[in-house]
Amino acid sequence: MKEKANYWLAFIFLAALTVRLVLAFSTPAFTYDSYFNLRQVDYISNNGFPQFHDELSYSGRDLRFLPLFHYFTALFDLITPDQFIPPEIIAKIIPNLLIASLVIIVYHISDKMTGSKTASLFSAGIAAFLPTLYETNSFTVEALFIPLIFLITFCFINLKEKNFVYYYIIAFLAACLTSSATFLIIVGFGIYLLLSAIEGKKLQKAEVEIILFSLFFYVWTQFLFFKEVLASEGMSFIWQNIPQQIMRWYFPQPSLLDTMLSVSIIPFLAGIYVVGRSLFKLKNTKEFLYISLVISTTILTWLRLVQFKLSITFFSIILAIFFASFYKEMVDFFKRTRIKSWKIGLPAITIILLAATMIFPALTTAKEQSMPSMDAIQAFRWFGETIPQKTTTLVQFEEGNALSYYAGKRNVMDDHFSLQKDAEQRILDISTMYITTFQTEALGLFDKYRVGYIILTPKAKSRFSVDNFHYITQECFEPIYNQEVKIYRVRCTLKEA
Amino acid sequence: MTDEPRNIIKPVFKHLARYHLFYAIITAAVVLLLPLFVIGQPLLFGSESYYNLQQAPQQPAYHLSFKVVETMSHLPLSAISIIQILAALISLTFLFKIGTTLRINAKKQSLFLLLLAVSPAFIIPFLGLSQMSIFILFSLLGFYILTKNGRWRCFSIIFFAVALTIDAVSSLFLVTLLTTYGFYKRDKNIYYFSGAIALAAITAFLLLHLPSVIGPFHQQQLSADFISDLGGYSGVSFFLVLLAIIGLFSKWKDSIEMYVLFIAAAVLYIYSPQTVLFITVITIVFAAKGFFVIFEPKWQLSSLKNFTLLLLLLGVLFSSATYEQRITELQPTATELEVLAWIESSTPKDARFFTSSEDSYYLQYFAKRETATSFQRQDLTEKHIFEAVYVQDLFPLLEQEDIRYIYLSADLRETLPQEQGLLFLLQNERFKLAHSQEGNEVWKVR
Repeated sequence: MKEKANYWLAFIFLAALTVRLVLAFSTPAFTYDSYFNLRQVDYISNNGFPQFHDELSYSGRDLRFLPLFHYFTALFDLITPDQFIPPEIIAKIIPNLLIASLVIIVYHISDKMTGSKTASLFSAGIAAFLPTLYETNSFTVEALFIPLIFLITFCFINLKEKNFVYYYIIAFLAACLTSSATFLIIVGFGIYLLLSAIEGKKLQKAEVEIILFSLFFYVWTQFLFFKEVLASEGMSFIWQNIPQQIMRWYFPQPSLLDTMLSVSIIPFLAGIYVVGRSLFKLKNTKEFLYISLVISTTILTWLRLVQFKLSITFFSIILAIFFASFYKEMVDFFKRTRIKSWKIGLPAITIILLAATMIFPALTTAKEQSMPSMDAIQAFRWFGETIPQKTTTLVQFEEGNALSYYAGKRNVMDDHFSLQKDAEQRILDISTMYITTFQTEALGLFDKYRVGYIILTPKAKSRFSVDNFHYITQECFEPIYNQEVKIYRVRCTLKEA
Repeated sequence: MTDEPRNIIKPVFKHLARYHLFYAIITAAVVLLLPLFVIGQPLLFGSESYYNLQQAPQQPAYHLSFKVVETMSHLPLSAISIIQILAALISLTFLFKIGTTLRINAKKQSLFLLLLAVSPAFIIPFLGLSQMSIFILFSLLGFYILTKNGRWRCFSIIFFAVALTIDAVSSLFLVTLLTTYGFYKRDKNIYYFSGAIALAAITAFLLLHLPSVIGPFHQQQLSADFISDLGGYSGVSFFLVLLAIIGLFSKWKDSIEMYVLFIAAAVLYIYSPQTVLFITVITIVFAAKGFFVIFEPKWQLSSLKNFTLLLLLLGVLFSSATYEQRITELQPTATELEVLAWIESSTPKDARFFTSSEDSYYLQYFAKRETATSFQRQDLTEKHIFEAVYVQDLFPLLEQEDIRYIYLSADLRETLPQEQGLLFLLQNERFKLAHSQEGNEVWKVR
């Protein structure tokens, strides 16, 4: 039975990986938030250290971030020759491989919780096709962070087994050096302790000790990397200095419908049932840990202390794990009935229902990823090859890192806001530079940010509802690229010579 | 799953408990002397120091705390720095003696003293000439005498009287401390004494027109002022806050008095972050308790215990080291002092200056000039002047305040926007750059 389950698990893993890679390679672009990481991996591959001072971002600024994911990927870049496997190919493969590995982790967690291989395979199958995980062109730290978090929880529920303490410590260390969002699990542990105290459940001493260690280790690592950011921004560090104007993009008002669509309706309903049942009836300690994580994620999302995208991902994977408990209960129920065909019928119906409610949303998510268009990438590449200077160029903030990656040019702003005191002002100024009808106003801002070139991409056209800049004149703006994307050289200045 | 590495904690703490005063004093001395060595000039830290020195001669005799400041004001700043450091060490010694008299657990006391010695809320009053340093020293002197048996206890009122003339909030906390002490000792005489002190405090507040709380002397933020790692210049390390939370929720029945003090300190802190010292001390008490709750019992994962302890120690040390780096900003630089000296020698004595609230105290003390700004002002004139967009908005404000000069330190100029606001408007012909040195500027308003 175990061998058969392993074959099925391998099949699900390979299916998930194949689908993900096919979708990833269907376009050469990456999501906008990937380009920062691509540039860092490139820098580490060439210099050995992360780029904590970036000449191109905001035309020169300091950066503070956790570099493990970048080192991890740079390692693959270093050991594979560029002519055989270019870095961009590795950047497509590694994140999808990591996310696909969730299938294996979710299977083992579900198996530990329920003892049922079949139910666990269904959980693994759900994890393989969760819509919220289908940003296949994304090269972000979450690709490493999400599997690590669930690996940590798996090690935690296996603390009694040999060596799992060490696996836990290694995984936790890696998570702390990958993303500050590790505090999700710290808060989850806190709620786990609280719920256990309320329920009068006796905890293992080792669990409490590991939680204490995790708390201090997490705080210490974050303090080590972000002491300047903490000193500069204080509690606002949690919100990463995201400008108020775009805060709602990162911390939207969560709605039940959005959550159900992101998670997929059947795992959502099954998960809610399991949570409800566990809270009031059973005292299964392992489910309590994941329920605590659900509660902590919900509270932190409601308080807008964690980005919605991350919390929904976390939430949906936990619901996938809970599906195993739900399925096992269904099996136990049908065993008690006289329906003889349930052994074939139940799995078949479950597969059909899951496939129907998950595959299409997953493919839609993959299709609707926010990426630069091929025209924009082509234009950026041409711009980089044609104009050798690292001149400051106006693009929207989401395109900032893409511009720097493809063209090697300085941007006015990109999507990393920490340690930037004028982030809100820059957002306003960028909007003005795109929509103003007054040339003097535009030129004044170009002088302020030393903008030498301005680019109008399809995304900018759509965002600002413009076909072209309103203030373009022949004497002040020289068109150097005029296709779907327009690039102009700024010739005039308001400053005295 | 259990492992048995060498237990290093017990023998270390046994040694610490035996010699904890020595280690606390050495730690405090290093922490207090380090910034002076780094900067190379023994000035006082913090704008409050210069406010106190400048105000002390103008205060009536019954403001005993200011009289203490005035006796020191004739000394060079370097001498005052050394006296303050000695006062810190004496305070720690008296804390130790009080703890010994009250038979507080030596291990807990040792940890408390060590943590206090590295806490910003304790360091910053003694790196400058803060009223809080006077409060700490004289309150501890008073308590030390009070803990002695016999008639000598009544002499403690002399020292408490000095501590009562700072502000109403400090007096209130002192009364709360005394009442808690009386509850702890189950001594009715202490209650009567506490009542007498309370009456004295009310009288002082009403008759002497003491402020409800002295200050503020910096831009106040509830979170950053309490947790020094968030950019504040006082408070405690975040690691101690975590330990304190654990201590707060453990064995709460053992020390009800501390919870009463904690609530009192928390209420006072929310009322005014200037009272951060009180909540910091209570937090450190709970942090010491939390430390022993975590590390005293035997761990199932012994190696993890040592590693967690190491993390904690590194965290506290790292936090302190980062803080020591930052507090060097609380002194005027050598260039700023030169510019302030130029102002004193080259501008009219009755000239009124505009600058930031923080720089205003340096200007008042070093350049002996009147300023239109201070943290005690409740209006938004300072904000309006800095953010004025047009000269039509700016000049009426300058005229209203009779401002003839504007002083902008280099640090202040870096925080102001270049393309609008005051820095932009200084290009107007009515402003003349009177003096400039390494980014520190003095502008004359014509």
